[in-house]
Amino acid sequence: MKSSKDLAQRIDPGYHRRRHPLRRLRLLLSLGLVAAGGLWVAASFAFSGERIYVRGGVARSHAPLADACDRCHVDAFAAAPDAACLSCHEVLPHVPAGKTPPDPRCGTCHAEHGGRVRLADVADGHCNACHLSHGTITSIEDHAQFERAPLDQHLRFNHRAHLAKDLLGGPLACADCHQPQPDARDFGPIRFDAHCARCHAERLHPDLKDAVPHGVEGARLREWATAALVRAFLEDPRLAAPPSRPNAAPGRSPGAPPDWTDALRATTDAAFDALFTPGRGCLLCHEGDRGRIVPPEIPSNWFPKARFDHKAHRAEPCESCHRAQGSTDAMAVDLPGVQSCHACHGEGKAVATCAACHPYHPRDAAAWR
Amino acid sequence: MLIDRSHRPWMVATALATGVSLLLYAVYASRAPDGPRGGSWQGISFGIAASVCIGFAALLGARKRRPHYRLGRAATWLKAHLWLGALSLPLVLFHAGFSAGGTLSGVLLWIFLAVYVTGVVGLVLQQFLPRVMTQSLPQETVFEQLDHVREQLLAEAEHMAKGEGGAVARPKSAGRVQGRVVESRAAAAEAGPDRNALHLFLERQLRPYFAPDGARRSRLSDASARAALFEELRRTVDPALHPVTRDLEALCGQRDQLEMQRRLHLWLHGWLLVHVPLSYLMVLLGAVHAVMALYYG
Repeated sequence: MKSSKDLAQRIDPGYHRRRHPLRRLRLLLSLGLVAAGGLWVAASFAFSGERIYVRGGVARSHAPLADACDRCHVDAFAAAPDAACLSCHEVLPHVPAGKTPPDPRCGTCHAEHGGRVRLADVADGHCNACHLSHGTITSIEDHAQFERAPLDQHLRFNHRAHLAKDLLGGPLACADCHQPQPDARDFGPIRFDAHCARCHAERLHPDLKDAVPHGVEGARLREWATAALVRAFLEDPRLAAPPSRPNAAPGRSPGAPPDWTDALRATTDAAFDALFTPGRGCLLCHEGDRGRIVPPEIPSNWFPKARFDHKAHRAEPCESCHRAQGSTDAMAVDLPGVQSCHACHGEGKAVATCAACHPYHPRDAAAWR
Repeated sequence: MLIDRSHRPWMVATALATGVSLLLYAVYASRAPDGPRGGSWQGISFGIAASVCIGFAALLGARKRRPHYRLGRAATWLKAHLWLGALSLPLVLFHAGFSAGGTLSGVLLWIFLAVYVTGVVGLVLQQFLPRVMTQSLPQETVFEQLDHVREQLLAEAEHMAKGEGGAVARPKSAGRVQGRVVESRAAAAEAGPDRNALHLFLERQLRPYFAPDGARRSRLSDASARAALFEELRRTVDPALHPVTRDLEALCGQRDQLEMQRRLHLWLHGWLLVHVPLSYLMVLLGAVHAVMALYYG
């Protein structure tokens, strides 16, 4: 049996002066890995710039700026300032100057480096952060009924009558009158000359060529009528035949030659009577009285706090939202309610974010007030 | 045992901190319009907290190199290393928003996870292997001395086989030493018995087995094969040399223990070959990540 001394003599007393082989290997691996890591960072910086540091690629619209970091990151250790965004984008503030809370930074809602996304697609949470008065809207089912433009148009129009009859060689279609704007988002306004005059042109006299000018009223309309009738009388004197008068005018004998002035006045009065007879002439569509028309007020945007894109919905027939075939009164504007959106928009369906319909940045400074 | 009852306060504090962090993260994540991000002030706060935990855990290595500094007990530093390191995982994930992010942050996250996993593996090994070594290696020696001891065992075997250093079947020395020391006897050189068979056995079996990497290839590394080989040897040698063969067999047992100690030691400390170098790399890339992230706002 070995004694303790024998066993102790097996140990080299100077062993602790030599580095443990595992420690030596650990040190070598540590130095190697740190050197490799440093080289990787340096090489990445040298060959691909700052790309390894960013969370994701820039948005699609910012692709030309992908390698121009300093265009947006102007100051070190600071977020990209709004001025960098506004150097290219002209937008009006959401909150008018001086009101609180002030507009957040552009980057608060439009978070860059999230990959090839549309920066305009802002998450609803950004809206809900301030607009708590609406309650937290988590889906389109929570949305309140649409707020429409005021319905004081002072105009009568019967969609049903126009769509049912064979008017221009067949029934009218929506697109015969509602023609898209160049951007196809909205439709242009209905104009009398372009859309109505073909059937609804009014004349002072059945034999007159000139139609009553649309948009002229009062004294100016009477001046135009007088001038038009004089011109017509001169061209065809038979038109000037005075109306039959059983009794002569005061101070004039019954057999006296016809008075042109009387004839002109009488013709003009008769024409005006015809124009401003309720349900006929101008008052077929307009509200007003003799010589005066209440100007119609047709809003260019029926949803004052939202923006509807007809182009994005062009695959749908008009009738799926607008039931114009049953509309007899322009005052009963056939605008769809929010429930008509539920079928296609929502979770797992088409986009239903706040920003999809409510533009944050107004088109003009008067909007949103 | 590495983790015992003295760790309970650290364990409770870590669990509490994780719970509070989880609660804060749940509120933050549910209210973040674009989802949780490392660049938000909440994300940066989680990142700073994680950096503090990781930084403190990383200081354990420096503390070990300066054991004479009065900076608290080493055991306390180890506890802090374990539990702050454990806490760093949820903090890092909350900072990252459970997303790898960009290239650098993604690489950093995976390195962190590798460091974390190797740390857990090391903790489990350190928890159980020392007890296994105590029970199964009565002749455990200093790891750096394994080769030195192996060479000495070979020298002893050569002496025994050649009959140098004492009388046959007579103990040269006897005594109780710490631990269960396998009985060893030095055979004496005598002119009588024929030692050719022993010499042959030494050259063909013992010397290859005691070579630096001989334990893997030799039949002597298997206990039953070893017993059979020595039984066969005893049938061929003079009965007077039987005590010498038993001593040689005991030396082979010691050689076996040395090999087992080497394997267990590699398991016990080998995980550090991954854990420590990756930790250094993580600290370097973490610093780069923090500076660049703050630089670009």
